[in-house]
Amino acid sequence: MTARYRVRWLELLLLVVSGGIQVLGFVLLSVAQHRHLVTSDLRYPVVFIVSTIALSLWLGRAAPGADQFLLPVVTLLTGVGILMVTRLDSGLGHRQVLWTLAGELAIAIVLALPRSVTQLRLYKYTWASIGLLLIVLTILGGTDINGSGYRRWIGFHGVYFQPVELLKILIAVFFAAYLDEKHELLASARIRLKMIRLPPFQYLAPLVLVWGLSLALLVKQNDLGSALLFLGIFLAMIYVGTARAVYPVTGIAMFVVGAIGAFHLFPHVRDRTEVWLNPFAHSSTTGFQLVQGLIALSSGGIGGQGLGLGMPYKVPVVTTDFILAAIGEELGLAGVVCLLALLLFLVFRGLTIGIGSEDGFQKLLATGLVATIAIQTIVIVGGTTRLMPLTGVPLPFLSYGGSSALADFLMIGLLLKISAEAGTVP
Amino acid sequence: MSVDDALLIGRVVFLLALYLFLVLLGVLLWRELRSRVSPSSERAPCDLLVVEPFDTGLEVGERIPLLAVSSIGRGPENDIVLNDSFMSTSHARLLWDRKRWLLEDLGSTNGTRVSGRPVRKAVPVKEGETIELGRVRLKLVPA
Repeated sequence: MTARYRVRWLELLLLVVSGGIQVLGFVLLSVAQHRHLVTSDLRYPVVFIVSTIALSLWLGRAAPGADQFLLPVVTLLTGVGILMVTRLDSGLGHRQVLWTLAGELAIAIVLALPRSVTQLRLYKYTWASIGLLLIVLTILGGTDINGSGYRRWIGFHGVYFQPVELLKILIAVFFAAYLDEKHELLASARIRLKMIRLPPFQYLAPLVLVWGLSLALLVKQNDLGSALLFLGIFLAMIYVGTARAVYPVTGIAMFVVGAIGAFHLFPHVRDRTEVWLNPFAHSSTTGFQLVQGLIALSSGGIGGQGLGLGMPYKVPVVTTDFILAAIGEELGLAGVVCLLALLLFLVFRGLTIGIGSEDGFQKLLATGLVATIAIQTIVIVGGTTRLMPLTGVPLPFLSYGGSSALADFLMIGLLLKISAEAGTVP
Repeated sequence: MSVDDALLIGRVVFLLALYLFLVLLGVLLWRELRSRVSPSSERAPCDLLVVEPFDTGLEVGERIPLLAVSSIGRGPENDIVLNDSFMSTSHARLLWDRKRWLLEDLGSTNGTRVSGRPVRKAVPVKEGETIELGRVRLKLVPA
């Protein structure tokens, strides 16, 4: 590869516009809170924008051919996330800025590594084992920092990490590597059972094993949101890898059977379904969070209450799972729709990058990473707006959460690298 | 103007700016996609050099100029008509993808190969590589 430098003008233009929007947001927040502008309130967006522009300039050297749309979109989403988190809890805002800086460093490192993304496939069982081992370690020796009764964090010296965020990337890598090797077998070979032709389920065994193990560990941690996310990644990737509808259809059918079974077996699944169907009957107990979220969303209306002018802090865990309720209250439906459009754009762009790649593994990996972002968004937006039962996952780039911010940035780093390599395959 | 009025105006401007960003994304994306998809009719930077013409009536060493997208086949509607009995009516398509050449087979009977490798989906072709269409052999060379 030539080491020629290229300024990424398109990216820089979009970054400057997105930076302006973020600064405006912080100005509005500062004025709403103090009745005049406190310039020190602008340090977060300024630090974040300057670091992003530095990253873009660095990409001009490390990966001049990488996609120029991803970073600005991610920057705007993350910036609005920092804005909302700071508005809710300025201490958390400070931490979130630090985590996103770490995320940008991760992108810079991923793009600077001389190895190809394709080399990840060589160690697929290692990646899957590391991911699963981390979860086991978390269950055994982790920390329960939010008092949920489940250990989901690994911590050292006050910094806590949620290994499930790393696991979702490692699992996508594993699925992509395995499916790229076996997709022809999975797509063509069939078992004949009288008149019905079934796909060769035996070749699925390693996939199902890894997925089943992660599922079991997540259920052990009572992390139903992540369990749902992993099912979605699994089905999306196997469908894209084989182009056979029988896999997702079978998977969804099995999920429905499993969900009905869980409904009858586990009381907390029954509780959640009940809260989903009749939240207002439980508005002071189990449905409190959901009802408060709905009230926040409805009080936002179309244009929102204005930054810093609503009361989103009344919603429990509003900075992480329920960030959408806070955004809906202060930026209104208009703001929510715009942010969802940005997430949709990101998904579209990621799929375009997958299509543009010439390597089967990279195509599947891009699909898996994009599916992660898309499914997380559907699960938590659907949960917050009562479209489906609530299961907690972070809203990509917008929720507070160090590990999730770091993992999301790492995924963007991989997508950027895939797009950078698309034109350089011999 | 009171602080509340300023905040109201700021709120509207903030939302408009968010949508402006979306519009800007759309416009830039549209431009990028158009420059990638619609082939310019400009002269492309390479020629095809005839290596083995068989029954096409071409001379060995003759140069065939390429367009940004050139369809190749026996039918007269093709940009490059190669009238050999081993060619299909619509045989293959060679196109300039901004920074590289791509060759794709259009379901020909006798197949297309690049440096001996069969072409199924679109594959990149480098300068100096030999393209086989049926039994006709051509070489991609700088114009």
